[in-house]
Amino acid sequence: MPVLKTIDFWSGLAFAGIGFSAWATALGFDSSSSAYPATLAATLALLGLALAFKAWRDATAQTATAEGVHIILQGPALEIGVWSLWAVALWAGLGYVGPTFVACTMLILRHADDRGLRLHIAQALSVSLVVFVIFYLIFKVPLPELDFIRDLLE
Amino acid sequence: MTEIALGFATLMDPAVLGFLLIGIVAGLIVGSIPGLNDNIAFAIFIPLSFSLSPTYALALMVGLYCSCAVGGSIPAIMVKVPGTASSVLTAIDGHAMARSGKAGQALGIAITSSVFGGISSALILLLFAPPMAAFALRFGYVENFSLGILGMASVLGLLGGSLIKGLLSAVLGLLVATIGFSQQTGLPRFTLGLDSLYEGVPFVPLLVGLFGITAVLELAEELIRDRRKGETPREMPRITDSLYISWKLSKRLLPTWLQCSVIGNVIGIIPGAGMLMAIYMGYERISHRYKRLFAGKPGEPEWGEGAPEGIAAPESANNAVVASSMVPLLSLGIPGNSVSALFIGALMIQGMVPGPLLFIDHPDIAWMIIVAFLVANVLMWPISYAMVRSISGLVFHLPKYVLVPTISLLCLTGAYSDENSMFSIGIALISGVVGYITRRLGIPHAPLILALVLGRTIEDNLGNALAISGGDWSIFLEPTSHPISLALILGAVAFMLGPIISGSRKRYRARRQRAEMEVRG
Repeated sequence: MPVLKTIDFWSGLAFAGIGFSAWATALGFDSSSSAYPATLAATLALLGLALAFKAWRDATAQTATAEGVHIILQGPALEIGVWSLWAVALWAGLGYVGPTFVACTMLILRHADDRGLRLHIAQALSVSLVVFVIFYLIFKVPLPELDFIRDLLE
Repeated sequence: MTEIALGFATLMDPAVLGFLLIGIVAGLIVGSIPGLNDNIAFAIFIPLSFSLSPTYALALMVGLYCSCAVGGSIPAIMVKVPGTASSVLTAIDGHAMARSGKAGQALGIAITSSVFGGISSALILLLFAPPMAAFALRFGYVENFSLGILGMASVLGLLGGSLIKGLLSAVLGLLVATIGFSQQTGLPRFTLGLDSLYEGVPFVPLLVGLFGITAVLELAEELIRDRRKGETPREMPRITDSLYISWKLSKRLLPTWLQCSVIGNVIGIIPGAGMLMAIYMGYERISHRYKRLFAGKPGEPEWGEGAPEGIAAPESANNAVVASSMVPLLSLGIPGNSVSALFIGALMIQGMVPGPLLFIDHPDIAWMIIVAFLVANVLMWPISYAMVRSISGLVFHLPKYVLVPTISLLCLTGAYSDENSMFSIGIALISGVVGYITRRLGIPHAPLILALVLGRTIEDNLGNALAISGGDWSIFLEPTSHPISLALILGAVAFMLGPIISGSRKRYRARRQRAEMEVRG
């Protein structure tokens, strides 16, 4: 069925799902604070269903391609993956500069044209240090840095 | 006059003026980098501004906002790659002029037109925002709810494309705005048991994600696409002629500047209309004028092939939107476009709320912002002239593969600095992903942003108004006790019905044409 390939059909169903689950959650609130969010959630669900129905009715809706999915995986998905790992590293107490340098190196090496490893490592190091200096030293943001680096700078 | 003097006095502090200059220079540079725009510049600079005093931070933001569009015209003219979306039409005639060896002239027209449009909109801000704010002080719960509805309706009504997607975006934003304590009962809603969500989704990381991270993900996608196509960066042509435009040309362009500035100012004041609508309307209008007066005459290029009006029209229109989009924000608390929505973030980080009370609680700041728009546009003229050659060389040496992680890092570290919390990084990442996915699905962001900004106000005012009326909804349409509310609701209905009626007309005309064609043969 061609409708199963349309993006709008699936996104409509996804919005309907979000709407219905928010509606069910909102019904659990006390009566004074549930009416407004429950109405919004039900509207979201209905609009999602309307979008899915429209995609089903119109044959011209946008369809997903294998190349498009591949590009998303190589670009935006990789970007989010690396920065999520970076956030986990910060949260785990591995400091700021180290994980930042690793994340920048990975992304620069992935996206760069082949101009040499040394240059890209230098670029990653520069980006990491410049941002660290701006936030930690100039704007005094208490970044989650390792104790020995903090002591070194104080 | 006393208030204007207060604004000038606050702005003329050398440090404040210095931050305004930094903003102008930064805006020129960011705007001139293809792929970056004023939204991203704000996403990067808002968290940075938290450690600055309010006057410094807001002067920086004003400078940034004013000059980004001018920066965008540089690559548009030089290599036909618009630095920002607002320069997309400038690229047509601008690049044609640059190709014929008049790059300096084209840049001079772009800068002067932008400054003209910018100054006109700063004057509109100065004239309209304070009286509107004074008028809005009379608003109660009923009027404020209706005002919120009018803001939402204007954004939805002016959207092109699918109305269902626009509504989805708005409802999603309103629903996200309900996360946190209920104002009516104080009980938590949709907080998933997370303490950090009790006061709602943190606004600055949310905006940083929606604007900054979303843009980074789009840049990363573009990088992969370019590499697959094997595209290499274009070489930047040199500026060999003078940047200064003659008095004769200025006189010729004056009607274009005036018409497009008026269009930009009107569009800027309407929430959700946006810069693109202004530049397309201005460009379309001036194209007719050019074809009537100049096209076909000796020495005059065809429209789209290097006509000076083709640069002056979009550039004066886009900068005329800038300060005028602050009119609804400063006077009513409703953002005129996405950048002015980000301005709310800049104000909130300084503990201020935009709207009529800003003029009462922080008159020095409110008037400084107004005056700063005027001064920034005046300063932008010599600064742009002085910097355009060096900027055009610099930006094309910045590799995009370094730019992408740099912007990500600035946005995420900035999000962290909002509350010094890892939770803020998570919010920025999640909202960035949501922003990217919704863009890919063709769901417009303008209603989402406005709903996030206005959601709480709409709910609170609705609850309070209904409590006063004893649950009677007709209070919003009461002509004697709430005539302003009635007028606002009627305005909202007009905004919503306008595009529906014009769409039906278009469909009816198309059907009739098809039927006539079939009858003929």
